Amino acid sequence: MFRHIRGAVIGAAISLIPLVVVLEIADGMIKGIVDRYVEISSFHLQVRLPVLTDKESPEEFVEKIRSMENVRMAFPYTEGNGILYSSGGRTGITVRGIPDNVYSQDEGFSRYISVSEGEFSLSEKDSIIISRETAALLKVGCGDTVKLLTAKQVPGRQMLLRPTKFTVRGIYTSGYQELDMLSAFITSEYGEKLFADPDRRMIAVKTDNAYSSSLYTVASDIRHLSIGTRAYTWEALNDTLVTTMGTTRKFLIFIMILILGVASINISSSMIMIVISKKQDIAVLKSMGASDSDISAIFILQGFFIGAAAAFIGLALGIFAALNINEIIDMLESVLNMLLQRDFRLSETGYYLERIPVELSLPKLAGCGALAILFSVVASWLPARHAGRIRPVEIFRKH
Amino acid sequence: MMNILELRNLCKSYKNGDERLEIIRDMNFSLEAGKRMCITGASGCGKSTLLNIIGSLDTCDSGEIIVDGQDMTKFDSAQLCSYRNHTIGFIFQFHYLLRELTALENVMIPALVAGVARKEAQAKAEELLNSVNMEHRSHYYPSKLSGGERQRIAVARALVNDPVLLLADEPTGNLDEYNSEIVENLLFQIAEERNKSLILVTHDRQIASHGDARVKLEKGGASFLWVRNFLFFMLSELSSAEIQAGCSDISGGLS
Ligand SMILES: Nc1ncnc2c1ncn2[C@@H]1O[C@H](COP(=O)(O)OP(=O)(O)O)[C@@H](O)[C@H]1O
Ligand SMILES: [Mg+2]
Repeated sequence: MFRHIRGAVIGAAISLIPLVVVLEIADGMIKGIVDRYVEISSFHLQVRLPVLTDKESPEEFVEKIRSMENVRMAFPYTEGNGILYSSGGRTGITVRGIPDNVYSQDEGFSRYISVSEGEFSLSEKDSIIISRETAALLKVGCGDTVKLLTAKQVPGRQMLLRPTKFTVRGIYTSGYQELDMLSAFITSEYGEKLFADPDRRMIAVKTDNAYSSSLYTVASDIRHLSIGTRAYTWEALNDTLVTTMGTTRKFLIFIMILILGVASINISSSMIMIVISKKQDIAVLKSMGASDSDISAIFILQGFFIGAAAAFIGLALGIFAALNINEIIDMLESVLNMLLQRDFRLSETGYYLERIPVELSLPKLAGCGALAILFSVVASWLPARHAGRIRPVEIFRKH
Repeated sequence: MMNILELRNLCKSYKNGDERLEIIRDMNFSLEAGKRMCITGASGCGKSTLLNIIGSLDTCDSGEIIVDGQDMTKFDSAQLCSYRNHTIGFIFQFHYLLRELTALENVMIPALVAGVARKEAQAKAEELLNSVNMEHRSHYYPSKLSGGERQRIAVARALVNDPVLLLADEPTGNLDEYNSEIVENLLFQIAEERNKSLILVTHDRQIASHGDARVKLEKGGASFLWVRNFLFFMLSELSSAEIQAGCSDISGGLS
């Protein structure tokens, strides 16, 4: 009997690990990815100004926004797409024109920009900061010259293509390659020249907390500055990203719960074995007055304890795995490389963060545990009912 | 004296494929409170079936079984549980002790099922282990006990909720002669001391003769019948009278 209980507990415990890991890691990972977009790509809010009259200037708006409550930073902002090329290669890229002081003054921005070569300096007009991936692609380093090919629609004429020379001043990485590959930073001046639409000036805004409701308050305050002023939140700007991540997460959790469900079939069959091995005792108890539900309760309770034990072990192992996920991936990597005699980098597949941030959340862990217990109780329900219906005479006659 | 048990027109048959196997047909008898009845009969004649029906482990096809003034065939399942728990004390041929529990804990089971407090159940169990002379084995597990000892524990267990009727189905069937005697004497003695009614199925004619009444069940069809009239409740006056309950419309019926 102990063999069956042990088997059921171990099975359920192991099946709980993926759920715990996915829950704890998926959120950390999504948070990490989204946070990078929010801090270095879309910023918290993007403001598009209406057509300005002669008396109005974009700087005026920047000042007004800066003085608002919960606003940490606001600066004129330009963004556009182009093809960055050098003698070594070329790549499509989104270029952002920002003031030089963003890196030094915005803690959120500098948190995710780690400069691997040169420095994050936009003090020279022709500066461009590119990512490690872009640098590798173009085969350039600090001090090298790259060219950016941009298109501009000139009223009354055809699309005008023009190359602009830039000097690479710094090479950075944010730890998320998907984002890095597509992003470069240039000075406000050049941004203005290449991308700015004088009728549609843009201002980037950082608030105290992009994830609190104060974001919406700020956005609505900005919209009230003048008619036609638009303010887009990072959620709206990264809409696809957020939904894709959310869907992926849900799907993963669904699969992991399915795994847990399959493991509870194992609990069910173990319980059936236990009931069979205890038939005689059940018959004795019933012959002495135990009711069907008394007997069923014993096995439901047993299911509860199996679930509780599995939850305990599974959570412990799951938390351990989640906390050490980076080391586990490193280890997997070296084992794979040893076996395949190759140099794989699992963590550099580009889809993941290089280091996965893990934040343990107690409610989620409690939920996992409760789910394991619930599944176990449900799994023992049928065997328990069967046990309750055992007829003593039939058992005694066989003896 | 009032009857603790009264069977009225009890019938029981089993379906065996297309065949209908009549085991008990129109059986009538009664047992006075505090009296001991011994049942003998060839193997397969329906002794266990009869005891199981009285003990509510099996159901009958028709008839009434009046125990302590109530027809237990009309009980609902909750009443049956309480009946098995409080009214009846069952002792089987095999001890059926739970191997994970000590002798003492095994004896406590019916009391715990009844919802008696643990302490109280333990006190009662200890007292009973004493009276079956097993107090020195109370913390032993069944695997460490001899067959005779196990059966004595089983007797104590049957008594823990103070049932009015003890049903013992060949309790010594698995024991040697020496232990059989101990266990059966113990049963008689305890039944006597505690004023319990007892129905004992046994092969031992000697022991059967100690009962207040004796029933011999017979196997066979109606053609086999030889009728010996008896009025059971009267015979309880005649100590150790041998009664043969053949298949008959008047008395216990077997086919
Ligand atoms: N569930 C059943 N189905 C068919 N026949 C049964 C069943 N239970 C008992 N019997 C038959 O009923 C008869 C009486 O059995 P039982 O009461 O155990 O006899 P005894 O205890 O006197 O040896 C036997 O012939 C047995 O084969
Ligand atoms: Mg029998």
